Amino acid sequence: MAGNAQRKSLEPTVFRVDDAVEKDTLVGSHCAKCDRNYFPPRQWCAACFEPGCEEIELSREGTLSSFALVERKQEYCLVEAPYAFGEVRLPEGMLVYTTLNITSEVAANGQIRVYSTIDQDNFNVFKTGQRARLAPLVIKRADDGADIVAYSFDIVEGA
Amino acid sequence: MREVVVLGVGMHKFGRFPDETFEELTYPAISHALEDSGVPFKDIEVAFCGVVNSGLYDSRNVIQQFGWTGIPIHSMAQASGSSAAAFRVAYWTVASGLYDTALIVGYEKMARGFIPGTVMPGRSHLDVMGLDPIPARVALEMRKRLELYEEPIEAHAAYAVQSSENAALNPYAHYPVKRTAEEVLNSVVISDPLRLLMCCPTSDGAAAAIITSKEKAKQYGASRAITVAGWACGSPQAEDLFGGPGAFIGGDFKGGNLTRRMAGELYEKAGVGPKDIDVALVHDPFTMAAMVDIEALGFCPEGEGGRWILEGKTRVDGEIPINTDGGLLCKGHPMGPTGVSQVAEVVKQLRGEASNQVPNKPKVGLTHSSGAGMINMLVLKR
Ligand SMILES: [Zn+2]
Repeated sequence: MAGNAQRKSLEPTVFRVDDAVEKDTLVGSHCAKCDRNYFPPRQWCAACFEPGCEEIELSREGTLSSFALVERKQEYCLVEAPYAFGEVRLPEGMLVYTTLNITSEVAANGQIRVYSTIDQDNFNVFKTGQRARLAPLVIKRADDGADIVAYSFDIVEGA
Repeated sequence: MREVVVLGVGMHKFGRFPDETFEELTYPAISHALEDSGVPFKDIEVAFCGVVNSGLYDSRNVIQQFGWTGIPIHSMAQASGSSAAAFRVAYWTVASGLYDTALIVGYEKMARGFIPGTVMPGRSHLDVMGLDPIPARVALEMRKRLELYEEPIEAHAAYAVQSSENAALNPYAHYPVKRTAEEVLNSVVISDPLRLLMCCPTSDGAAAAIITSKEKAKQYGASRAITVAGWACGSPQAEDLFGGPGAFIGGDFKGGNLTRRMAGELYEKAGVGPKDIDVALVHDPFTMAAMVDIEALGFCPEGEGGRWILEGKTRVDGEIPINTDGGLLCKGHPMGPTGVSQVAEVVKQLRGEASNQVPNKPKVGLTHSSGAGMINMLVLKR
């Protein structure tokens, strides 16, 4: 079953996958001295100029601050174009660049997600200010059969 | 620090020159700058090159085709701001008294298509995940402007039209072709709402300048000298990072915070304010950048950039003429020489020798360059 396939993060320093999809998390960092948060995580606080930032798990929901349609992908990009590109503001204060999905089906404890192909027609469902929720995007299959997963965001319809 | 002047400028046309070597590209730019300045090559004491895509020996070859004088030669890469950075360091060496006379040359040969993203292609997850195309990032910021300021998209078309009209008068421009608003709005959608003709092309080209101390200039063509009245440079600070995508930010187009801060420094050093600027050459790889720039430089209130452009206030005969040479958008953007090409245009404007001359004898000009998110700016005075 695909639902039991092993999942690995494309980049564990910024995105950690869990056995349960709903526990997948973006990794940020927090400076206790000046209370600033960062994504991607950093060791040295950009404002205190000292090391000591602590890793934190970031909120899984944020607000869509802007979006664009990418018509042609760059050479090494593993996401098929056209795709939706967006910026999500998290409650911790930072903006996260992300791909955006329109989910048509979720099954098997959230592990199997079917995303609609983005095109000029359904692209107009995106609106700034919408709520967006962290969702995994299987970006490739590793040689050992594991799903290599990247972070992405779904629009929370009707929320 | 002592007073420094620009004595000469020269250009190689921006465009596509696949068969030309770096020596061939730089030869007309440097030789015109030498001729324009009246400075013999043997008097050049130090040289600075601005180039991103170069080979091991190119910086030496482009300088030494004029003679093996044994001078120090430097090469600086700072993306779109490479030769603006080279100019500023050259300025430091002359202003500090280390050298009297310096040559700055920017040159580049670029691939077609979009300027690559901000990370190493194929190596960073951002690229693999499709999160690094610069035009898409620009499209995000453009959408915010359209919504937040109720900026009409026609303002972006108007800016592209204005730039094309300016470029049509510039013999060195990559695209000296007048365009209409309809052509711009109907051009290929790159990343909605961004259209192709709202983006600069990649180009080949070269630009050179010669600077010297005010004192030394008396030996040459001092009557045509243009004074460097102020400078500012810097990289983003922590406050630019909060609420932004951090280290991944690809430029200052996200609100222009760095430009705004640098402008304060620049005006203070030069003893002028935004109202004193008669002509400005600003970093405009996308129509949106011109709007962010004129707001951040204090020419117009925040959010009004688009409407100012629509009202014609940035045209050659407007309140604050910008990018009278066509800007990056239509003159072309070869990265390496772009910064010095801005200096060349302002020098010509202040001398009254520009091909698209600002009326009423402009006295004070400004250059604003952004490269890899870092800013270099100058105030030049007649
Ligand atoms: Zn801190």
